[in-house]
Amino acid sequence: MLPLAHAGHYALWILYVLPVLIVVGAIVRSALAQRRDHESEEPGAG
Amino acid sequence: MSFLPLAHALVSRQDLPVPAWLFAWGASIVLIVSFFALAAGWRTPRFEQAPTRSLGAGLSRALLGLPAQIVCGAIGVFLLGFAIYAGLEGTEAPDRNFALTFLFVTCWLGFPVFSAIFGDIFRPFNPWRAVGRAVGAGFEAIAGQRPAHLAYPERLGRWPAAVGLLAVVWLEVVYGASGGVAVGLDPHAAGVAALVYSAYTLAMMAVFGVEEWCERGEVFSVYFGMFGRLGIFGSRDGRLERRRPFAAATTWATIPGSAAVVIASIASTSYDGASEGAFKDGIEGVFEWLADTGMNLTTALRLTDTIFMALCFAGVGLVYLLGVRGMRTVPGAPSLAKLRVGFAHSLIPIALAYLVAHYFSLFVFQEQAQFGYLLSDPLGTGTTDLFGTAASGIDFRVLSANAIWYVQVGALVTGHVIGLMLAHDRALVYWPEYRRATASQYWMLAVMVAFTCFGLYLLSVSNG
Repeated sequence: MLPLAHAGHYALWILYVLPVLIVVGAIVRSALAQRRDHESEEPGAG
Repeated sequence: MSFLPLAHALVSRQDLPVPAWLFAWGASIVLIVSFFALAAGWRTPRFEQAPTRSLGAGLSRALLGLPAQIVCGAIGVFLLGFAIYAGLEGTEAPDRNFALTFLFVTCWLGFPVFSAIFGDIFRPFNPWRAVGRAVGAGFEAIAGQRPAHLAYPERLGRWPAAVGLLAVVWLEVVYGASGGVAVGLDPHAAGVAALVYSAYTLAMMAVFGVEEWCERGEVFSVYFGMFGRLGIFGSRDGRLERRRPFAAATTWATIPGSAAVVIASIASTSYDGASEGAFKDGIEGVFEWLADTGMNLTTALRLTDTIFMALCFAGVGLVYLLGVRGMRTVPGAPSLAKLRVGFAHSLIPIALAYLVAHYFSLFVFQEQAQFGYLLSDPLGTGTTDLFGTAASGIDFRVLSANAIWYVQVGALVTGHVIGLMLAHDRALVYWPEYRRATASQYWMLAVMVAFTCFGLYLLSVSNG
């Protein structure tokens, strides 16, 4: 079990990681949306 | 740089208007805004084959001619020789001996910063290059022919410099442990290390040639020269030229192992910053576990530090490789190997930013010692006062904790924005259609945000 005194320390670490996670999440979401668009265009392309 | 632990303790405590972590969020927003500004307004490469302007022939002769080379080389040889002498013969007190501050602060931190502004200023002062060239010229005069050299293995590239760079930092921050306590490198060990490195370098120059070894294997030439590619002055065919800032960096990473050099630079700085802060609990845990197995305490501490340093190298390399791997998913992408090499130069400003952010205050404080009491009493014997400044000290009030933090944040943000610019410019070469170039750079944006937040986290823990 983690001592409570360390809880703040770990929470602080998360605050620095969050911006990275948000950017990576946005990139993955954008990449997936692009792939979906690309796949939906393909059937009518021929 | 662990031999001056007091330098940080004597600075006033931070009193920031907002929590430190909010600076990471602010820095991330600056990077995202910069990214979209680049996407909107920068649609053709500007750094590749950027125009240069030759400076006057007279100025080139004066600064690059043989007399200037001899004088600069002699200065370099004298200073290295003097630092070795001070290390071997001077006091064992690290903060009173000229050698450590000169080698690990004035040179190690000064050359990158000034090279990033003015170009590769270490090259003319490189003591090993000066000796190697003098010996080569002597050989030619006596034998009537140039010395023959072995062909340098192309695949080896700059890997010797990358390994050497880690070794230099390892020597300074890891080797200086005694009885399980990190006491820092002592001047005598630094003097011996400088002698050993000099012998190794001169031997390699004899085998592969002076310029070849300086370009690929000599740690300090490669390391300082890397930052010099950001600077505005360079030379070509014996002529001094002015170039667009950062533009020369685009051709730096073409030699194998270059990415490893710049990753080693970021990793070693990160490790040095984290070892006293973010990694402290982890290091203590592994050290105690190794010590409990019966291992000698000094060996246990060195092994623990080495493991964490290697983890830093692997972690920084992995983040970069993930960014490159992400780019590969964009249609029209070149091979993974080409991407890996092609974007390595965009990490150079980040390496510089990490260096400035982590050591700016140490540099400001220790240079007061360098040009004060260390200059007057270089051996630290207390019996010499060459310039009447032997009794001077360090004024730690010249920088407040808040000022240091703002410089750290500013350096990290600026370095990463320049990194984004370099990466965006290279992407426009690989993907001439700018929408695809922009899409490829989402991944580098993530890399830059990750390095910025990581750097600020390390600093905030160290400062706290």
